Amino acid sequence: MNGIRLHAVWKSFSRKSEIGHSKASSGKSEVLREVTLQLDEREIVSLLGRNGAGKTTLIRIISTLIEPDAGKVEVCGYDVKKQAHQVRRHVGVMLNAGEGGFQSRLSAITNLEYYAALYQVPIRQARIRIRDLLQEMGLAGREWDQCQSYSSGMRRRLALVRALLSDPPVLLLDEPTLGVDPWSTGEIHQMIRKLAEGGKTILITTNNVSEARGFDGRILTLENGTLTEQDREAILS
Amino acid sequence: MRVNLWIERSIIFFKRELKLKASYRMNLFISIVGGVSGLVVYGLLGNSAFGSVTTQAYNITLGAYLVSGVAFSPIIMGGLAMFSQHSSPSELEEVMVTPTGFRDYILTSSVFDILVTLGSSGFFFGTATLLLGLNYSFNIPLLALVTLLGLLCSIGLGFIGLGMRLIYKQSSLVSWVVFSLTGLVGNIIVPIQILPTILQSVSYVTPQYYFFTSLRVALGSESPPVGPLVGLFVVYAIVLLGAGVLVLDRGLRFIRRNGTHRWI
Repeated sequence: MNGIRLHAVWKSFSRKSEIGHSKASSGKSEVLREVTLQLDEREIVSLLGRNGAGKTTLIRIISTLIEPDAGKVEVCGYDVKKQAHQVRRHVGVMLNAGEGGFQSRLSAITNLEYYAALYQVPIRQARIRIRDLLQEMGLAGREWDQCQSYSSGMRRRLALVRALLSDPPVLLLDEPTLGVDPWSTGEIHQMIRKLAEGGKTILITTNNVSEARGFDGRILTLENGTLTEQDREAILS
Repeated sequence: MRVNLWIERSIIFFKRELKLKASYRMNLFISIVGGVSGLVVYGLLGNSAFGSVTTQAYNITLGAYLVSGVAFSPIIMGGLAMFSQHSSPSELEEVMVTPTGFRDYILTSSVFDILVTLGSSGFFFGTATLLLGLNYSFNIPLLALVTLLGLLCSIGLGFIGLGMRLIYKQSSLVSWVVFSLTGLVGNIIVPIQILPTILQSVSYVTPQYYFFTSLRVALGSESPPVGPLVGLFVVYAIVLLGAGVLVLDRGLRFIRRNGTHRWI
């Protein structure tokens, strides 16, 4: 099954005070509390939450970047702890990260070929896929420009292309339009909708209600580490 | 993973590094000028000395001793810088969500740097030797073996430095040991024969001692029995590489548990 399953997932992080300040503020901070979630194959789910609610932590757990303290997480039937390698073969991730690991002095093509190699896509196949994806994302014509000349919106689109290089059945998009202007946001949303129609299982995080309701599918909220399914109609109203 | 995919990946990484380094042409110019002038300074300084302990120990002049030490030092000292440049916080996360293993990634990414290190060591050594008219006697098989073992040590040190960086977000202790302490006791530019006995004992626990001593033996004309020295160096390289793998794995487990992939 090409979906995502989380069962009773817990995650906490240590908090540390600055040197010279009270140790009383140090300790553990619970980010996820018994989170259970199922995304079926070809489903798109929006995950709403304030800054620091734990959305990124959830994405990082599903993408094998960090391990849950307790609970079970499966992607396409593979366990994220025991079969991390298999999980990574089935997931495309758009992380919520500044420069996104692109070398600013290199072109989109060179950067993407590098990541295609990391995703273990044969080079001939990768070149065709990169060309097609750049065309779809509206980056054709700028593909040999150094990435340092790209706008924020173009970089986010480039990050989306990278997430799609291996044509994974599952996509994890962590605030994909963060810091992007409304026009580029609209384009990115359109692309995500197209991917959902194409049969991908998509989990998208956002702190923007209007962004969440822009997609078909369930809307969940994450607050104080607890996941709640929202009545879509109530949110829309 | 299939071999052809691995070869393809190595070529893509190599081309990427080449393009990236070529985009910083000024650095290349500075490195060449700085490297050659540094070696000439050491060589001239050494050549001005009358008699040296190095002539007795390795049958090479002090100038030849210094030039070989400085020219070949990046081979065993380069691991720390080589690996840290491929593990910037933003790149780390993006690489760790791909199916390519992290060690595999680091090593493949560093192939270009390793070749550049070998090439530049040879170039600087050859240039300084010609400019200063230094005399060496080359035991090529031994030189190749010592270079290989030096690279393995460098990779081990690089893994240790990277593992510690992932845990402590700094690798200053490893850098200090590699660059400062071993600068004195590693037989790089200070012949250990002139060190106090206690410091000579310390030098035997550094990989640099085995690398540079074996190197001077490979370059000296009257090689003393080299078997035990190289044998110890082989053991040292294997142990260091194993320790590096363990420390790096520990670092990776640490960030997966704590989520501290980013620190700047």
